[in-house]
Amino acid sequence: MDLLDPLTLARTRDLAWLSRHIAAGVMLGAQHSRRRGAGLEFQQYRSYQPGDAINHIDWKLFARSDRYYVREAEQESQMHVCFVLDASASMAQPSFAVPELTKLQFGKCWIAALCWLLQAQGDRCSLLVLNDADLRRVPAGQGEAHHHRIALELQRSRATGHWPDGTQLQPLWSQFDSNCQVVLVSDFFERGQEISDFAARLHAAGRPCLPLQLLVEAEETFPFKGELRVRDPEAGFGSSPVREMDARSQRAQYLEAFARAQQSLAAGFAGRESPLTSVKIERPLADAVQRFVQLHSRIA
Amino acid sequence: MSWLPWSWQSPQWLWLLLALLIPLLIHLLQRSAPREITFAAAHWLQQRQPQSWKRLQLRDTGLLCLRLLLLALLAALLAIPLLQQRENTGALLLVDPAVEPAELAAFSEAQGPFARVLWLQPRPQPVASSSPESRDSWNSLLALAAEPRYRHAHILLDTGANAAGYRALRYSPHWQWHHTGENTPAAPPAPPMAIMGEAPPWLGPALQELAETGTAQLEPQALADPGQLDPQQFQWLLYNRPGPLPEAVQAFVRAGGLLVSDSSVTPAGTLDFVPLGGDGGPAREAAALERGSWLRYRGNWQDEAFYHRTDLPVLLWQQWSQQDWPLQAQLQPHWPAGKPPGIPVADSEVAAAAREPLQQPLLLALLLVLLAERALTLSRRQVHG
Repeated sequence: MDLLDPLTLARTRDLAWLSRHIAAGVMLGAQHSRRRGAGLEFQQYRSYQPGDAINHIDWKLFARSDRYYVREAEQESQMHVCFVLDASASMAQPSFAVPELTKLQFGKCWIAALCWLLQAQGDRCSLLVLNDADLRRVPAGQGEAHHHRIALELQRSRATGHWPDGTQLQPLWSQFDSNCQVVLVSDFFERGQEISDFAARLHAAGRPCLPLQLLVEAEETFPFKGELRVRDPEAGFGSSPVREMDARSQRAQYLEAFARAQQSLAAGFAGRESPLTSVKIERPLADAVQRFVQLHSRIA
Repeated sequence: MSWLPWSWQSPQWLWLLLALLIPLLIHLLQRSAPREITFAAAHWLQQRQPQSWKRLQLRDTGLLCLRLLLLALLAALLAIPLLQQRENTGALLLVDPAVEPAELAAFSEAQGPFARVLWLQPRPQPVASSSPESRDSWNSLLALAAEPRYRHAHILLDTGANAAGYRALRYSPHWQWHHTGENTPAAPPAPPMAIMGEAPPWLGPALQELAETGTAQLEPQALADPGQLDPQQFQWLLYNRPGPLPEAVQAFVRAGGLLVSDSSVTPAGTLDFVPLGGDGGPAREAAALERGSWLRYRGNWQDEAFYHRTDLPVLLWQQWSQQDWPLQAQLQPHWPAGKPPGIPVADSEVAAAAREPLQQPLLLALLLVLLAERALTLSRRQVHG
């Protein structure tokens, strides 16, 4: 869809509307597995067992057969997808080709689009926007109103600070219930191993963590020349936020180090059977959603 | 700067070249302020100070060159460069159309080979492939004097004496003159003359004096019958029979002859005689009769008042020959080859015409460089944000 070029993504404020359009593009021609009102479809009768609710007994059948039968409907999907959006300062990185578009904006649109797909499918979604200054939460829910709530919360979030530390994350672990799948949207630029550890811990607790990495093209190609003053948005206390350097002499070394880091990150997630999806924000968002959905077929 | 093929029509605009300093200064100033970017992946960049000599290097040298070229082209375009045409090497021979082919061949053999041999015409054509259109070498020379291609040509004229035109001649001082014929103008032929009636007594001595001084050799032939007058045979007629002019004589005049008489001869009809004089000679009048004319002396030329003059022969010759237009044409001034009468065309007058303005190619180059500069700038902006 032509509407959804990077500049439109960057400038559109109505995430709910935007996500519906993207989702429509993604699902064009696909069969919806479930619709609104799912769960009312009759599936089978089974004998009443102690513990079954009395209002589930089919009384007309009892009148005919003199036996208690329970009318069973199709099992409602109980999948709960929790979106975790990294809102640390590095996510404010704008694209060098489309300076209006940041990683965070792309991530917001991406989550809203996938969330719309899930709610149309009848699944429940929740949202966590994380940085060390602010924790935004939308508990699990479903339906259009819930999607709007998530979109609104996404719109309010800003990228600042760092990934929250252990103590800040502590109260959040209870959010991830047993049938919860976590979609972790981040650039995975860590000071230590904090984001990888977060994913590893979720995995250890049996909550699949599906990672989406957002990058700008310049981070992979390093197209700069001449002298640069590079500002690191997440520079630690020990290092200066602005460094001067000669781009040409740094390029080869940077590309090698970055590729190595990417490899090790991808290897870590591959080891936990949740392959890393890495997308560049200059590329079409619908493609990114589609790739992710195809890779993690259990979501779709 | 004559060794350069360039010259400028408005060289004052070359001061604009000083504007080349502007982009140079901007790039120099930008060099001291490195480009600042926010880069989240700075974590993987090495902590290394740039070498100090790198600071002296100009950034975006390609872009700077394009901008300098743009300004230089603009200055050049305003100053209007002119490209000197390359002169054709090899000797060029311009041949008077009156020259015979055999004479031309002999001349070419004698004077060495010529790279090109062209007819001497306002627009010279090769001798081998075309026949000449115009035989007026005076006007041809006039037309070619300022043509840079023909400034150094060899000119081959038919005779050393060539008829002059009415316009002032302009010629190239570099021309090398040659001629095939004699260098002295041929003496004008004396017009064949007839007399009808009794010859006036002053005629014999006057003609004798003209012959002795070498002015003209007039030998009048006496005719009795006007029917013998043949315009092909005679040009002048001295008519001395008082009374009306016979029709045969009038026919002679209308065919181009000159009739000389005194006032005792009267025209058959009415003629518009125009009084002539002012040269101190005998009073006279003239009338045009189709192609010829009638010169009539007032009064009787048998009178002493008419012929009692010391300069009578010369006066008569002048008056008669002035009235004879075909003779005048033959008597027009001639000039010797190698000494053309007129004004040479100086090189400085020709130089401007010898250069081609280069505005269109420069304008095209300017547009291309402008496009390249814009494209490069926009692509940089996209990369660096």
